[in-house]
Amino acid sequence: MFDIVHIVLTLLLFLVLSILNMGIIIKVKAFFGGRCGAPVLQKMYDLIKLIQKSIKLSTTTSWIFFAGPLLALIVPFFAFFFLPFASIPPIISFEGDFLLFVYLFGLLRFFTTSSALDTSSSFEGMGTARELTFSFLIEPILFVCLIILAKGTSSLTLFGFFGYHILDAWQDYSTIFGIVVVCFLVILLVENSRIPFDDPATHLELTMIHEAMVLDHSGPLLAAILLGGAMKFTVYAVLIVDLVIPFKTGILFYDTLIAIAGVLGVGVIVGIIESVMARLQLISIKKVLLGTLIVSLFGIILITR
Amino acid sequence: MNASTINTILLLVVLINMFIMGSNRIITAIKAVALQGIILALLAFFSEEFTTKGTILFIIIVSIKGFIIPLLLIHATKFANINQEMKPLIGYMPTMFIDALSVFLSFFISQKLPLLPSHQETIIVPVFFATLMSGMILIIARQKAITQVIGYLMMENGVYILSSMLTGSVTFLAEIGVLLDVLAGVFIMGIMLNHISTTFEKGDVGKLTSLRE
Repeated sequence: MFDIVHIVLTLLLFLVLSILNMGIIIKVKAFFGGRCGAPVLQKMYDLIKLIQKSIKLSTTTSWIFFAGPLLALIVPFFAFFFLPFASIPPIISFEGDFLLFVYLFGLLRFFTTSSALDTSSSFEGMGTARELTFSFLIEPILFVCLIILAKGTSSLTLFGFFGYHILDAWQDYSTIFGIVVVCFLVILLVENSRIPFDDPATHLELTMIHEAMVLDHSGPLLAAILLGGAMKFTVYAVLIVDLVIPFKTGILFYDTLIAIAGVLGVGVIVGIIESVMARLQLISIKKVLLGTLIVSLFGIILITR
Repeated sequence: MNASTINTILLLVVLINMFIMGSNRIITAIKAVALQGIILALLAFFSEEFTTKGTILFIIIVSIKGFIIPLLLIHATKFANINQEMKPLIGYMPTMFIDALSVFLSFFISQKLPLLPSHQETIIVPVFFATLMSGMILIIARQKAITQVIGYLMMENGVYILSSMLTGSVTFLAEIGVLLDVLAGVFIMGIMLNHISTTFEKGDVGKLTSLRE
């Protein structure tokens, strides 16, 4: 079941999907802007270019500065181990692994923010403060959603959430799971600093949130962070696809094709959202996130009554 | 219509309540209340068999709640030169939180009520309580006279949920009567708003305490 070729192929697929997704978002945005847009593999060319560059280090940095980019590469891979993809079961699965899944990203955030603070740049301190504020508002939403899934499918593993019971659970709790899908989409947009909450393409340090934290990373370190960001996006996209596409055909090939189409579809949806929406005010982001939290709490009320 | 669909639509009603609590423009709130009224009328219409009486009631409700009352109110705000800002006594975020608490409270209360089993699987009763309380919270937490009208309309929507969904179409006469009352109330309130604004320049109910003969 867990032969090594299988695992390597899945991880390669994951890597390719991550790079493709970023390109697709750019393409969709270019389409809405009436432009031709960069090629879909532009992200890969960027990464290759960055890897060939040298690293510039500030004199104040220590080893923590390297820990952020390193974990940015490792954590999404490790988190992907816990998620079922199509009809492929997760590589690791145990009772309560969804807690680890949430806090893996917590660990990543801790080291990203630490490595940002390590440069002792005031811009990066500001970006860190904002990033932590948002993540503190996001964490309860993610938790409430996972509790809803745990209650709906009466299991405690991520494989149990998205495995065999999910179809029955959808029939019983379609409304509530609809809420969870919306909450997951909000979480995806905030965690990956996409447009209504943060603009990945902004050029002013004062308006940056996530990008302000990685200003001092250069060359291969920046490449690690960019690739890690793309993989993090794909992990959350897989989370949504697992929930939204509960049915399985039973044939591995078709299931995988459907799941790939789903993940790329999330990229298209995010591209559309980015094209039609302007960035929210910093103050109203707080409002929107608290509103989402309240909505997810309704889900808990509905499922426990 | 099965219970799940009804619950989805009623959840939308609660979300509109929440949206009104958080919105800071008066016309947005008026439009949201109108939308809420239309959604509820549609829900009641499609959850029963098609009858002439039901259709007439549906058309009357949609035209009054969805179009006549909002247009009257929007006209009144423009005519009386009321500023678009809501002027909250309690801020927007605290109001949203209080509203969320009231939703939890209403779910708690309705679990204690001895309801029929068929009514227990839908969330009609809790949403009724929640909408009623949201209307009251809006009346308490906002300063202007026109927001009190909006709160009153929300409470009417709440009463409509209970009357139409739980008892069926026997409430034809009662609902028409209530609608007439609401329409008259909004009408009078529109005239009052004008008088308040000409006397005090702003529709601020805090100033009404100093009224004399």
